Amino acid sequence: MKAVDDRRPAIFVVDDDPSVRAAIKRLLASVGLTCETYGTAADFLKRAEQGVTGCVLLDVRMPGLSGMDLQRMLNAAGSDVAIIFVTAHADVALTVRAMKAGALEVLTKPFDDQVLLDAVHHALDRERNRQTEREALRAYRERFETLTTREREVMALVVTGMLNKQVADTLGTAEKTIKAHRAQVMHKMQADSFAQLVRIADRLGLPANR
Amino acid sequence: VLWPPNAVLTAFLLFVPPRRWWSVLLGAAAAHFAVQLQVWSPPFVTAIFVTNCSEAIFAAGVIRYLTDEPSKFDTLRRVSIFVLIGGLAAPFVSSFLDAAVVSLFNDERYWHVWKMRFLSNALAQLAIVPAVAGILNGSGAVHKWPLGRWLEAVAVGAGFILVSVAVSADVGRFGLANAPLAPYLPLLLWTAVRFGSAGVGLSVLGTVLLAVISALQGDALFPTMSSVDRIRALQVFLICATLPLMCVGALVEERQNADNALRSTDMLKSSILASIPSLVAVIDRNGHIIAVNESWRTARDTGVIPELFSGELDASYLNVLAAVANRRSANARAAHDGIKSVLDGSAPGFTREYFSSEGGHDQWWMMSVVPLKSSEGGAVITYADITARKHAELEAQRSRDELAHTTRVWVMGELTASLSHQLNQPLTGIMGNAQAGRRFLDATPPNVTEVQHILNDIIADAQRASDVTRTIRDMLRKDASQDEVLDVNDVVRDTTLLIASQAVIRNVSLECELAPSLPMIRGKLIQLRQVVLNLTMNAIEAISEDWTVGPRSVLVRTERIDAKSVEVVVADTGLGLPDGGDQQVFEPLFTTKKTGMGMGLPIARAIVEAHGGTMSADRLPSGGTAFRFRLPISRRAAE
Repeated sequence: MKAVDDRRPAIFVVDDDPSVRAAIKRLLASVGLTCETYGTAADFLKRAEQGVTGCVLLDVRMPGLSGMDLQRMLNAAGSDVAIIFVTAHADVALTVRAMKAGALEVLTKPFDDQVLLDAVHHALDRERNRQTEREALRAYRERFETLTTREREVMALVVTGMLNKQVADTLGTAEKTIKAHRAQVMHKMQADSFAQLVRIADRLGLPANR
Repeated sequence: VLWPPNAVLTAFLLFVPPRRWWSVLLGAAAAHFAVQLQVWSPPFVTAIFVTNCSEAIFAAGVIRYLTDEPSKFDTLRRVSIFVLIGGLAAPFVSSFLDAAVVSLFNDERYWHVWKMRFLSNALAQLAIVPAVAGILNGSGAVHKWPLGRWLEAVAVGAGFILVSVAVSADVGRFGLANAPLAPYLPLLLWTAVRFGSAGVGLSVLGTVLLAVISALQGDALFPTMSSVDRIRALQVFLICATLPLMCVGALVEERQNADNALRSTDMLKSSILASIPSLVAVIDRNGHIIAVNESWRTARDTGVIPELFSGELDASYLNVLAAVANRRSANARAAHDGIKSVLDGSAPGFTREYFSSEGGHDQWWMMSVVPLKSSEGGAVITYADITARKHAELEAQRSRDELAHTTRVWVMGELTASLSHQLNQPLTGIMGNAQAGRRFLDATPPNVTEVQHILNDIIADAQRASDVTRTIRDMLRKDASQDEVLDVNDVVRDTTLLIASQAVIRNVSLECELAPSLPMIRGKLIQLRQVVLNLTMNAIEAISEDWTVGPRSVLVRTERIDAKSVEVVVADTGLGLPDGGDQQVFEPLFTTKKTGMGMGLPIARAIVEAHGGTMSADRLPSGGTAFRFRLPISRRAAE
């Protein structure tokens, strides 16, 4: 889902009741948020095929595909859109099932406006964080691409905590050379400290590449 | 003078069916030969037997062919046939054979013998056959004769003896010599009138005997004639007298029988009429009362029904009703108009059930007017007390309503989750909209336009919630409403309001296909809703939770079937009914559900039938079940 990464997080409302859809839309509008509304799970599913990110306010009981069905299908498709269930009667079993399947919240109808908005904000924040992280990772990857083969080998070894000497022994070169490579790596990866380099390598999954 | 054997044989042949005639003829032959062979030669006796039998067989055969009851002499037709065939034609024809045989064997003159034979045979037939038949038919009745009739019979017999004594003693003094048989006539007529054809036969027989005695006494009868002429005169007189007398006897008997039949019919009718507990009156074309039965009279005297006041004979009942109607009674007005429509032929009949509390009696009456099928017109009016029946009907309806209410409450209980969902949706809309509205008002500047839209939506939602609660309240209420004119589509829509969420909760798609512009029906809204609710709920529950093969849908369809009825079909895609279930489902306490009461469908069917409709269940070829019910289109609404 690489294309998703470019999207701004959006809010989707899926509820069979037009009145409930309108009310939620207005609540969101009152805090300056816009949303897309869908009357059936199937309609939203069609939209989701183009890739969605953000959060879905999802009714559990709907004619045709139910909210739980939709959650299952989104999970199967690998979507990581945040799901907030809104249901007329949330029993414990349903809540547990929904949360286990990765739902962010389960709200009961009729809902308190602040609770709903908080849940949406929470979902959006989480999404924004994820997005920041995704962007950082992309930057790391780009930087990593600029490294030469030897520099990558050096980076992969130093982040495991090996001393320059040990690295030199492993690669069969002089310690001095390794030192120069290492400085080059720190520079290209824009790492302010060794600790940061280790973190970046971890995010890039470097040790695992060994 | 008269030759009895042929006549006796004839009488027996009339009584015995033809297939057993041989036994009678055998008996006759035995008697004949036993007597005759002592005097005559066997060939002659045989020939005479044959000719004698020919007369009897001819007479009996033809009479049997012409009449239905050959042995009865009680109608003019039967007597006429007997007189013409048995009394005249048979002796006439057979006498030719007789004369031939006698003249051949005994060397007598042919025409002389024929004349003698014809007259004596004819007289014998006329006198003996009815007498024998009368004795055979009437021997039972004679025992029941009252004393007066016995005395009368004895008097007639005595009269005959007196007359014959008088005739023989009186010769020459009163000029009876030339009309010695005239005195017998009144007696013969008497017997004809009082004792019928059998009496005529017997009295002719008596006259013959008495007259023969007289005739043989030499000069008592027709002293100037030869003895042969005397006998012939006697025969001719008796034959000529007998013919009309037999007819008179038959006429009298016929008339008497008709009278008796009429009297017994009248008695039958009047006792039937008297035994009827309903009030019955017969009126003529102008409304005048011709006859009433005992119940009517009693009711009139006690004043149970106001319409019956002064129902005197000869009073115009229409006027009575008109007078009562003017004073107070709508019932009298309806009765008046109903009778009038029957009398003037504009209606083939009239029936009306109504309630009357006249005189402190709460009573239901059924009044009916049936036209008299006579050229004079008129009608029969009946008032039947149907209070007991009405009470039973009302009682039955009350318990049906009770049961319907109980099952309705039960069903609503089953629907709790659905109903709370159904109410929660508009409440969520209201709450969310209201909260959004507050935020729009708090904003600077306040977004008033948006708040106006919000308020409109809130009102719509509140209306929706109130519709649901009203429908719930209706369904839980005890229904005492009257029939009203309804659109079946509205009934289905109301029901959907209650049950849509049930379908959603059970993940079943509920669809309606409502025929546009259905004709109206008449009925009780709540009960019909209950029927649709019941069928739809069953249909939804028929699709079990773990049923994942194939569609999960319930379709409610309305349709006009023909000029007279509309149909509602509720079809599901569930597992379908078990074998034979399409009949069993309507039986009380039959259920396929875990928590079922088994009362829903019997009640639903009872409700539909109380509305004049029908309900059935079909197994669908695609699996699943279709319940359908039909309701008659309201004629009043169609007008």
